[in-house]
Amino acid sequence: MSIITIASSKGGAGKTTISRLLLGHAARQGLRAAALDADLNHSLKDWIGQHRAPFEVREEIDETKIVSAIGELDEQNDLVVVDTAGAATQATVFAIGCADLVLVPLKLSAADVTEAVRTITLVKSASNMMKREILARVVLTGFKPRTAVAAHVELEIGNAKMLDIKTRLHDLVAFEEMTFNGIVPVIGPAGFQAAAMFAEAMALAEPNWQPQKLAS
Amino acid sequence: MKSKNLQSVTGSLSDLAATMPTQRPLSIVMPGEAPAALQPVTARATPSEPLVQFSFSMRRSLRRELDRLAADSDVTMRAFVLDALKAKGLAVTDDDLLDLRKQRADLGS
Repeated sequence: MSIITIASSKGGAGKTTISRLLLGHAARQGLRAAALDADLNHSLKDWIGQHRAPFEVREEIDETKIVSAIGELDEQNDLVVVDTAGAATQATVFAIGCADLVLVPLKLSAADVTEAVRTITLVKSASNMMKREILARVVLTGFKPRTAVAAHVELEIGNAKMLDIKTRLHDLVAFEEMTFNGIVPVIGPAGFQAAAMFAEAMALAEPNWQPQKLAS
Repeated sequence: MKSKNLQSVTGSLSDLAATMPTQRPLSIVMPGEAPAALQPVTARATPSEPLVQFSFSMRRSLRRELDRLAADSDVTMRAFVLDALKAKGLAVTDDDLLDLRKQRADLGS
């Protein structure tokens, strides 16, 4: 149904965190979700394996195989989340070419903004070469509300004419705990933010998708 | 605008991808790509261009960590750094990564 690629040419921006949140909330919504880990560090695959999460996961870093691997997962699942390496590589380009939506995470730093601009430019180039629109949105992670730097980064995003997911993923402990305990937040502020981010992303990637009403 | 067609991805984006570094492991050899014959290393290959000294300073803790990581990988710090640069897309050759310590030890034995 939908392929969402998480890409940023900067490491540590929150790609794998967003991947985990999307997969967890997809499963909660009853969607068949699968992950393709194209990161050399294979953090997402390890995390899914360690915590026996209910998603199919494949690791594929070889750019000559990544498109067919994504295609196979796409045939069998409602949502495929592709986590890419923290650098612009050939595999990342092809993962972008497969996507309905590219999410570009960025934290509150100048380097994150710079690399987000580069990644969005890469998506636009791929979109032009594919002759189809590939939607791209930045996602602010590690967000610190009501700070000058947060306001500045939001201003920079606007100045660079980058479109964003309106939900901010704050700098919350639950997101860090998820890396250790495998529990994707579904309650509290972290759960609310993750669910809202997932809903926004799905609405873009799959306009016909309707969220189920779930008890929190 | 066209709809999504994964079969066209590789063909449409191959020119763009060619400007990016690969993630493929060095051991992967595609069909039709004959592996190069391995030659025993007996002496340092003649460099095709002159070597230059390059140095920079870093925090002591980083230097120690680099030393440890290189030792764990059984390579020189020089080879370790060059290998990292190769992963970033620099045109580092196998000759650049030769461990001259081992050659010197072999020649001395």
